[in-house]
Amino acid sequence: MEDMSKGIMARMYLVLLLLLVVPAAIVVQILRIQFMEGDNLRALWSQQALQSIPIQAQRGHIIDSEGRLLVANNISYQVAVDPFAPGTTPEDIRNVISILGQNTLQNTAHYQRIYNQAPRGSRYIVLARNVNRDVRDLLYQNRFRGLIIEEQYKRRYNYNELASHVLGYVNHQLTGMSGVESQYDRFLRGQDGIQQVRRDSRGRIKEFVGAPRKQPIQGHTIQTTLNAQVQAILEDELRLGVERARAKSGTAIVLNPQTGAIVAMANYPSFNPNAPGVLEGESRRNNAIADMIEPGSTFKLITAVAAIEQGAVTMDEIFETPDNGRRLIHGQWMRDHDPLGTLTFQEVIQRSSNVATAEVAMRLERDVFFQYARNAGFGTTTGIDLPGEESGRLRRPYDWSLVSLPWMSIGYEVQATPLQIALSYAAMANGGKLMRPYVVERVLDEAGTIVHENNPFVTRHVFSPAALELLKPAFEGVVTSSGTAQFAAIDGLRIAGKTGTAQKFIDGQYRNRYRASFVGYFPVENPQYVTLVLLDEPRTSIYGGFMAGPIFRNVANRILGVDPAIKQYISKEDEPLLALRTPRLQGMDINQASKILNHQKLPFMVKGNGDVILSQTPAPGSELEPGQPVELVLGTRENGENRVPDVTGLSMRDAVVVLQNAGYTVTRNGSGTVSAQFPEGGAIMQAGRSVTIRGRVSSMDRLLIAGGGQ
Amino acid sequence: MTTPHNESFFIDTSGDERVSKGRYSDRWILLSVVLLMVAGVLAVYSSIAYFAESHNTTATSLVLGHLVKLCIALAVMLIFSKIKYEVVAGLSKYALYLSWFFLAIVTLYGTEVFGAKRHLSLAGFSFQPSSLATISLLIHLCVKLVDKAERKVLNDFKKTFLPLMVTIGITCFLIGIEDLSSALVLMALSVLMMFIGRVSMVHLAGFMIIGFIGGYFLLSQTLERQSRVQNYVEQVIHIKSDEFVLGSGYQAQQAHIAIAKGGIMGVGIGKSTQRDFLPAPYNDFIFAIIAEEYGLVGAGAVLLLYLIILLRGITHVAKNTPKTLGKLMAVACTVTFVTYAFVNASVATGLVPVTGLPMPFISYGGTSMMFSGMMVGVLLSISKSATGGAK
Repeated sequence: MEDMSKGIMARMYLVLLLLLVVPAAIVVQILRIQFMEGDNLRALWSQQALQSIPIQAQRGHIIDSEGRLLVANNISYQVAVDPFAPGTTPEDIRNVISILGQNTLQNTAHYQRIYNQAPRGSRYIVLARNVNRDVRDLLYQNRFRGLIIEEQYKRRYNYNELASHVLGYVNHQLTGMSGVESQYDRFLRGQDGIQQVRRDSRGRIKEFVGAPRKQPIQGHTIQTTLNAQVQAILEDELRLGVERARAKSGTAIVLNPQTGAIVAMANYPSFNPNAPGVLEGESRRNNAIADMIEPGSTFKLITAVAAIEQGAVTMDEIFETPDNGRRLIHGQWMRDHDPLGTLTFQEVIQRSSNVATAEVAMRLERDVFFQYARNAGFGTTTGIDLPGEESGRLRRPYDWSLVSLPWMSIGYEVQATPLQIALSYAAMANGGKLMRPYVVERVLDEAGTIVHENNPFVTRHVFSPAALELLKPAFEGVVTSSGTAQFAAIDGLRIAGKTGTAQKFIDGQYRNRYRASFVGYFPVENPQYVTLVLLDEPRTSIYGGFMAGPIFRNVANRILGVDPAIKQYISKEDEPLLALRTPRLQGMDINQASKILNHQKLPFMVKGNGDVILSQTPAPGSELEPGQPVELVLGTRENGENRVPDVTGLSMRDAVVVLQNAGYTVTRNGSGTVSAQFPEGGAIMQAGRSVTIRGRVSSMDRLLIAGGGQ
Repeated sequence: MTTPHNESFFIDTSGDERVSKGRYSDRWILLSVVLLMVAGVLAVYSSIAYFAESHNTTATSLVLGHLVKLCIALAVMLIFSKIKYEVVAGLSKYALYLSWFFLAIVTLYGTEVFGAKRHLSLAGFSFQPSSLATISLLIHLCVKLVDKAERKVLNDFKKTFLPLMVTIGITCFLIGIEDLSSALVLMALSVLMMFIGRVSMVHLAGFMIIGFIGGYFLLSQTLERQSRVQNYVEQVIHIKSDEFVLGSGYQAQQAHIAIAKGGIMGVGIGKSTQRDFLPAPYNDFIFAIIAEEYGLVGAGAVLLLYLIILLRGITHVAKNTPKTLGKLMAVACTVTFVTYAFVNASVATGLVPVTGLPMPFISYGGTSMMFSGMMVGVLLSISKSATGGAK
């Protein structure tokens, strides 16, 4: 037996040694995996288990030159929960579901169902999308770690169609597709943040709360040179003008001749960038910079300046025009709109004689005339900071025929954009400088620091001030009863400008279709506004003076209403023409109201005692006779009795502040500016009770009313 | 290792000297088993969430079930440590025949009657007859080997090798129908036992040569088998880490990723992410999860616990127990128990192709745990007869 045991023992130890090899091999294998292949394997791990999802950055705002918010974002919220986040109890989640159920369109059962249907173990259950801020605030009151609220953005154009061609629009991915939105996309876009999540083998998100996160960088704010009020006025008048003339379309530009800044730029029909897909592409095109048209008589500015500077003509030279108003030039008939008889050169401009203008032009060398046109910016892009600009077409003299020079001198055989025409008149207004136009003043980051700025830039000096001085009376004469644009005149305001009536060249020949235009600047003493109005195929009359002139006048008239600086240039006896409107004072403190009235130099009378204005006569917004005082009835807030302040027209947020300061609670309905309230402003109601305000996204109309009141 | 603290527990329950001949069970083995169980509970809790999710239950309730099974395994271990191993040896023959019967039933009716073919449901508990067959065959072999040795016919081909091989062959065949890898492991263990039991080396060598030739013949039959072998060899030599493997190497690669992720110290308790990508992370690949969460240190500690049992089982229990039957049975239980663990760890580290063997006392699953308890119980029972250190 002993012998047998020994044999067994020996074999046992042999087996033991064999078995000991196994764990050693395993440890070696583990080390091999960890150190030789570790990096690669860990890389595979991150590849299969980690994923980054972007956090949307908020796109930058676009504001006008006075800081009005033109383009902003609607923020909505997506609510999700992570039931397995530390410290998250079923109670918390029930609470979220019940808040959602009570404050959104869906009921609690709906959200409970979404929650129950989520895959087991899911750590990112989206309960609701497009939740508004109020609900988010409610949810935030009982924050817990497993509550995940993410912002979602949608572009909001506050004034719908307003300046849509300049501002542009964005696609569904919030990328700028035209206008400023496209040109300045890199500033507006911001930088998306990154949220890292972990996924399991079925691709479900397993970890969210507390995962590494890179915050998004918000887009920059773009301050445009646009003045929203002027823009609204321009669009309003252009629309009315197009409708009155039954024209196909219209384009209008208001720019500052001293800087080249675009104050307003409009095309009608326009489109609503809040829903850019509704209209076809044609109406999304910014014709002011993308249309190449033959300018017609407005181009005579170039001819006139060239002729005067070259000494080819003097202002009082006499021109005899044919009795029938037409002349054969190298085998082609050139016509005046009417037989004009004998004219001085000044009258040639004033009354827009084609025949006489061509006669003057033919005294010039072709190259000289070409150089003037070229210098004035025709045939090259203006360099405006908007996408899609056309250069127009100015042929070189060696391409010209015998009739090119005379016809070019009256604005044919040359193609220009409306902006180029406006800029040449701006050069006339500012003493001969061709400015580079721009629509963006500056780009600001979140802290308000300027990131990028456009400064006025003189492309070149194109006209001599001396020649312009000589020509000014002629162009001012256009806007008088003896000129072609008497309907553009405003009593007491000096305006210089030129009409244009151009036959359209379609499919190789000139047809009985026209473009009517007027371009002018004011006040002549210190030009602040160049305004161009162009109607395409007007049908009630073809003449620029008749069709575009009145639009210009209305626009200029209303600009005077919003730009008090221009008023000093109005001759004193004409002052009553300016309509004065009563500001809205009801519900205001008397000190505040008197400040406003004094500022506007309006006389006023006070009735009753107290410090709050209960009512006013005339009613807010109505016209005042000069010297007519505003009557104010005062009252008090005593014995807890309170008068509800009138908050219509304020932004919802401001309205809430005003009402809360007055001691009321607020029930909000909608967003934007307050369009209605209950009880109405001035009503007596105890403090502590609720005022309901209804908001509406502010419309262009509102801007116009606000503008007209000053 | 500190002084085992559950000594008192054991004295309380095994105080009866008539049964245990006044000796204690081996403390080192007992302590290692308890520590393995603790490690198992942690690893199962980490890795079972996904399984729980797909079976409409929670990880906690599954872990509670695991704890219950651990208690049963402990109880079984306790009972067997109190029974004289000679009694177990005497019953092994009948247990073996019973297991054949069960295996036959499972094979014939398994799918229809009992659900999973490897499992047999009895009174609400399901168990794998192959586990019973494994342990009873190995113990029965020990009894036979002692018997042959006493009759001095160990080298007789007809009287020893042939009948033993028939018994082994029948058992392995019955198991192998459904579970080839378990059958192969059992075959290897049986040959090992015959080697230790001093069966003729000529016969064993001949058998192994025939086995190798037969195996080579089978493998070379088709190109598909050849390529599988080549693939396997390739996988062991080169750890694939430059791109994802989606076919047969998927599990091995995911296990490698888990081990690489764990590094030396591991990612921390409950922080495994590979449990979502590994199949049966609570069973076949639990060692990979341990390596991920507790690193090389944790994985090494688990291996160390099995090593302690291995060393104690052979160098103390088998060496010091006086009877040949005790020696053989101690070796059988120890080697079987540890082999299962080592094979499982080898699978998880990619050294051995996927087999589906559990890691004793750590993997989730009832039957294997019970039979592990049985084997350790028998080992402990033998350890009471070991004359501590003195030869």
